[in-house]
Parts: sequence; C-alpha cells; structure tokens
Amino acid sequence: MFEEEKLSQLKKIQVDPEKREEDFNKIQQRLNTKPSNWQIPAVIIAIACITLFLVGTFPQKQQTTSDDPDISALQAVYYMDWEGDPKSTLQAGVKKVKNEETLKAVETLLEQLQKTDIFIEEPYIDKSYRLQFEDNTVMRLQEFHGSEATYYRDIGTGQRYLLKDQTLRGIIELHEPADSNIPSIISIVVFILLIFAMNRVSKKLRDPEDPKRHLPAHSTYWQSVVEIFTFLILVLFVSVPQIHLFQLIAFLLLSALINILLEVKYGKKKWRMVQFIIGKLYFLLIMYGILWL
Amino acid sequence: MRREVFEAHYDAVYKYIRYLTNDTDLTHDLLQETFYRFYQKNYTEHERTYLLKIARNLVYDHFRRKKIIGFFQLKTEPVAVGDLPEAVVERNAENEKLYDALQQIKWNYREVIVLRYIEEYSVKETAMILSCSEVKVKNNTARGLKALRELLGGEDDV
Repeated sequence: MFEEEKLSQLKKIQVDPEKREEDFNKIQQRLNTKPSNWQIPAVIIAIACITLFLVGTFPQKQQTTSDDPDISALQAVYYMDWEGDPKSTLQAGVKKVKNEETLKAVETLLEQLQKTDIFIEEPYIDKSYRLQFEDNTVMRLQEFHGSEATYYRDIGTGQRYLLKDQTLRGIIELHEPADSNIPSIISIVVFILLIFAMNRVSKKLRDPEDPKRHLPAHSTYWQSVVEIFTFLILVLFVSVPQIHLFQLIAFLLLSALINILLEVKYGKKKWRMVQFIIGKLYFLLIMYGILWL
Repeated sequence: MRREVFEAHYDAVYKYIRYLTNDTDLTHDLLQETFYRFYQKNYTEHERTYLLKIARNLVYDHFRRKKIIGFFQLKTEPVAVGDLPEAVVERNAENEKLYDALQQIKWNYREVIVLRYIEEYSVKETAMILSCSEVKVKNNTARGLKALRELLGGEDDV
C-alpha cells in the first residue's frame, strides 16, 4: 500500500492564481461571444461555387453558319493565340474585337476568302477565331500560314479558305487600339491595398503577450495543407488552356471555405478567416495578372 | 455562468488533465474547453463527474486526432518526459520519481490510478466517469499499481 500513500502526495496542487483567472476569463469571453451561424454563409458560398463552375463550363449555344460567310452582319469577334475555342473574354487568353471599324474590316476580309482544296497536314495553328453574326450564327476559324498564303479552316464545315497579301490577324492588329493600361493600374493599386490589409490582419493575429510577436502559421495543421494544395492546383491552372475566370473564382472560394470551416472548428479566430479571404484575393489577382493581363 | 462551480472543481479537472496529458499548455486549453462545454449544457447535478467525463473525452479526442495526423508518429500516447508539474505542492525527489513512473504506465491504468488515488474517487464513481464496469476499474487499478511498483523498483507483491 506504499504507492497509494505516495500517490496521495501528488493530489495537493496549487495552480498559479493568474493562470486560473486567465482560464476563467477566457471561458467567460467564449460564453459571451455570440456563436457565429456559419451554416448559412457556407451554403451560400457552396451554391455560388457550383453556379460559377457551371457557368464557366456550360457550352455556349452554337449554330454553324452556311458556307457563305457574308450572309449576315458581323456582331462580335473573339480570338486567341493557338488552337482553342474562344467563347468569352472571361477565358484566359481570349480577346474580343472592340472597334466597329475593325468588325467592318473583318467583314470585308471575309468576303475575300477564297475556297481552296489545298490540304496541309497537321498545320501549326497560329490563331483561333469565333465570329458571331447578328442572326445568332457562329463561325469558328483557325488561321495557319502556308508558304504563299494564309489558310483558314472552318471548324463547323471543314471547308478551307485562303487569303493572299492580307490576314485576319493583321487586320485586327491594324484597326484595334492598343490595350488600355487601366486594368493593370487598377490591379497594382488593389495589390498594394491587399498588402496593407494583410499586414493589418497579421498584426491582429499576433499574440500580444508573446515577446517575439511571433505570427502563428495556422490554427490547425490541415489549414496549411489546404493552402499548399491550393497553390499547387493554381500552378496547374496556369497550364490549363482557356481556363474560365469563374472556374478560378469557384476554386478559390471553395479553398477559402474549407479553411474557414477548419478555423470555425479549431481556432475560432475571426482575423484568421479574414486572412484566408485576403489570401485568396491575392491568388486571384496574381492569376488574373498572369493569365489575363 | 456560475463562478462557484469553476472554483470548486478547477483543481480536480486541472489535475486530471495535467496528469493524463503531461503538458501544461494543453492542460489549460482542454480545461477551458471542458468548462465551456459544461456551462453550455448547464448541468446542475453530479457536476464534477460530468466535468471529468467531458475532460476525458477531450483528452481522448486530442490524442486520437494526433494519431490520425501523425502518420509517421510511432508513439501516440503522451511521451513520458517533463518534470513534476509546477503546480504540485509537495516537491521532492520521491515525487519526481513517482510522477515519472506514472507517465510511463499504460494510459488506461494511469487514468484509473489518477481517479482512484489522486482524485480519491470510489470504484463505483470511477466506473461511472470512465463509463466502464467496476470489475474493469478494479483490475486496471491492481495492474496499474503493479506497473508503478515495478517501475519504482519495489517488490511485486500484488
């Protein structure tokens, strides 16, 4: 029975009263905090993610034109480098003709297309175009260069055309104004604002009692795992052709949502949640800069 | 929020978690969570029993989670390192050795020993807190004491 007696010596403890008070205050503070009702925002964000993803991947209505390209007035021209299906400027690398004058010049050029039977095996596609006409018909053309002329292939009908001396690309470059600097300037300003916001959030997240003011990396190890995974997926996104902006936003929203839910479960720090949102805006801006600007 | 409940049971809950986890910071975190959950449920009777039950579940959850996360972690129970907790009043070499031995015995023995001899619960109350049979409590107590005795270099007379 010697051990039992010895064990009873361990029962007398005296916890530091300051620590005890701190424990009580923290419990009281948590009890007084109104529990955040995260389910409704989570459902809203999830629905937004699904909607954005569906919009981004939904195939556009496509009605192929007849062989005669000048049957109706040209409404819009989308184009991109290399092979692809440019549907919207929200897709990475897709541009839209802005000028009425350019549209008229393209219309004139379309009338000059000459049908040809020349077959080039596995051509290097220089540009892809999507021409939308006012009667809702669409013509998709691929541009590639031959030794004496520039060739065009209509994706819908398979018909080949050729143009000598002029090219669709040349006409667009000639008539279209230079890209405006305003989106780049706005992006840089937003980026700087985000840096300031992130600094502010970091200050709030640091423990004031820590003499080194160390910034805690995460509330749970899984948050860092999600962040690394997000980064790796974004690196993959750069190589995905014509990724839709909505797909990118949906993915970042989903990543932020997972991390916020982890925070609700493990840390309950509001500023950490803000940090995740700002972090995703960072990623969005960087990706926008790389893929769209 | 009833302050008197906190004051009356703080030491017991602290001791229980501290001896099971062997980690001061973790003890304070789990202790806060224990009282937070207790106050949310607003129990009015058998307060200490409920508190210790909540504390035990939290400790188990913590180490279960750690076990899942630590894919390469060979030891999942709290590691037997660390000195006698700073809160223990009677500090001497004998108690240091005893505490060290307590940290080395199996976890299910340790929690029974802590409840029976440090928190001074009866077999029946211990069985209630641990949600197990009284026979199991008695068996684990005897095995725990035997393990302690061996670690402390005493004769195996149980």
